[in-house]
Amino acid sequence: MTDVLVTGVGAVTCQGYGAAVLRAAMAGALPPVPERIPDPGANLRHPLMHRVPDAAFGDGRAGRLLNSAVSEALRDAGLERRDWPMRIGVVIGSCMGEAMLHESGRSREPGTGWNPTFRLASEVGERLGAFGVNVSISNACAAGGFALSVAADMVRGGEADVVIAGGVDAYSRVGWASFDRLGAIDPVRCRPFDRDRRGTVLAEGAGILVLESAEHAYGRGAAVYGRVAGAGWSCDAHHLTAPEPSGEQIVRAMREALGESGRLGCVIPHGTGTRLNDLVESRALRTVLGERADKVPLYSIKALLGHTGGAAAALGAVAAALILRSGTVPPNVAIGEQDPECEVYLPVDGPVRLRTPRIMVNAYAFGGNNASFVLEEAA
Amino acid sequence: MTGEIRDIRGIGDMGDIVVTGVGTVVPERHGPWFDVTTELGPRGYKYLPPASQYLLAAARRAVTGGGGLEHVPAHRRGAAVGTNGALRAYFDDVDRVVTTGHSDDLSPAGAPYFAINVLSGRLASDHQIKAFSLTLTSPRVAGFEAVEIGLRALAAGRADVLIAAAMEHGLPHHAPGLAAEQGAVAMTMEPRALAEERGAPILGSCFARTAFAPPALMTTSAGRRQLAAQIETAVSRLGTGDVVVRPVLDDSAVSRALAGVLAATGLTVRPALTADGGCLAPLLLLARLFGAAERRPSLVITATAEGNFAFGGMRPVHSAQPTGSRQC
Repeated sequence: MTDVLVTGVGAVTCQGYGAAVLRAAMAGALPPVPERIPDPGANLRHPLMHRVPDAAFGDGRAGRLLNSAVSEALRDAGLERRDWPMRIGVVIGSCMGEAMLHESGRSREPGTGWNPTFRLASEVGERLGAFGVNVSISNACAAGGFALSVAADMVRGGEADVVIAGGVDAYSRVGWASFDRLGAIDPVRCRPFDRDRRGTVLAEGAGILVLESAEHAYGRGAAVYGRVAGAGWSCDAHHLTAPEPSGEQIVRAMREALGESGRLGCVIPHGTGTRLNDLVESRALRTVLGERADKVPLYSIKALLGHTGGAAAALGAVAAALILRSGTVPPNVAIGEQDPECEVYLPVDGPVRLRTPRIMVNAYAFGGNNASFVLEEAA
Repeated sequence: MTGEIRDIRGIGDMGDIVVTGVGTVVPERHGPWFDVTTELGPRGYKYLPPASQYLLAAARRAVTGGGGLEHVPAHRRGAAVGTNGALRAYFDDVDRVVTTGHSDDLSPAGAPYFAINVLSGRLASDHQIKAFSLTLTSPRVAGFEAVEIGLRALAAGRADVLIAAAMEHGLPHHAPGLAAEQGAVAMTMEPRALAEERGAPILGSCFARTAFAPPALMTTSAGRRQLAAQIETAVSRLGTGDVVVRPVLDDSAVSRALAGVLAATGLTVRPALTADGGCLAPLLLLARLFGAAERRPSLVITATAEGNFAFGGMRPVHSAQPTGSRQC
């Protein structure tokens, strides 16, 4: 089977548009300030969000964010000219899809018909004129992680030369209100692994990677960020919202993704800032890494971007690609005091060298759906 | 970027994977048609969303028909479920509560269902499915998408058995002119060797493949040629038998192009069924073929205005094992 390489990335976050903006924000390590949701219908206890700046608030917002990230990733991969012979697929993860399409009331006008919410991958396929496999995955906050590993399986299995893969989520009143009702919003900010963390802050975002077969990428002389070294999936089969306390299944997914060597230079955790998630993930990492857990740095990206739902793991993968290319793990956004029960290495004082060019990204979701994957330096 | 599909074969190819159980739960009459206590028992299911209840009932029938899942450990059991509108009515209710009242007025028990994959959470816990639980949502093709991606995961070694399913819970009244899809369909699948080893019913082999037909290109001859090439490849995978094609189409440009291509193939094409608003009808039609008296290789094809289209194939399997129909 072929190697699966990352040849392009695109990112849209509350920090702004583009991977370069994300890279600068990672280096700066300044936490974003949650803003009030600009929706008069959002009657919530904590109406907070991290919004993508300068994007019109209304129908089609998720598609616009996604479109920007896809365009950037294709440019970055050198595929914007569209004259390379290739079999191209699209795999997009999203928790809420284009939910605002319905929430704004457009679909309630008589005769407007059925507007499928999860049409984002279709829109990318239409825009690119891509005849290949076109997939929409909706495993909540792990959707982007599953999307990337499904895409890697497609390339590895010879079903596509290039797959545009990642995740996106934009503001949804239903999504935000539900999190609010569950008491899962931190009124201060998203503070993963902080002793005083009280939940997460939901955010908008889109992360896209161009995954490409090694033959196709090297054949056209593409620049490479890294390769997809492995991916592991599991399901807790335990509770609708809470992680299974022993972490048995997330350990299994991590071990499957890491493979036999177990080499690792950095972890981008799921780390949402909710009490139990951070605790269970910390313990699971210690189970997997043993004493190395004291030395393998975590890069806790949700402290910088908030929780972007179905885009979270894809943006984690974009960050991993940037870290692989720079060889440096940026400093984490400073938190108040690290939870002593979360025994993970969370460097905040400055960048640290990526000693082993191999990074694991974790993605967990309501429903107990878990995905871990590893990006590593390409040989 | 009109990538030419040179070959849509890949991992998860048909022939090695067989269907061992089929369960369907759909209304057969007007009025109340689903009794949760009868289907699932008196405790623990009453307050689940309707689509979850349908899914659990269909899966229970499929698993029972297929001889259970106990022959593989929990971490080797996977599930892939397709849906489009299973929560749409619920979302409308949540939105109304939040805009006219407050999020505190929402039921805390219902709040997790903002995430559509949570509908499959009880399926995983009831059947101890720990390899994976995927939720696929592409317009209309999500059921076939579940089969395709679930089988690819089996071929990639992520699990040994799969429950592939689709569920819908109708469309609310403010989407006039569309049939309301409700119910669920589930199939249990596993490698043929595993099924034969344990003497499980083998109802046939199954595959699904999703693809995309950019709507704007369906008015061009080049675009239609691409479409024709993919159909030809899908048909070839069913072997040289007398293939019956069963379309499930709407009035979109993509469906019209598909119908045109099918008419030119010379294949036996049954009259098209009218597609509903969700993803249930195509997978339901495919699943029923595994229990049908007519045992000809069949290809169910569906398409939608957004450009998604998909094939689901059934091929009878000749086996020393009993192959009685277990469709419920």
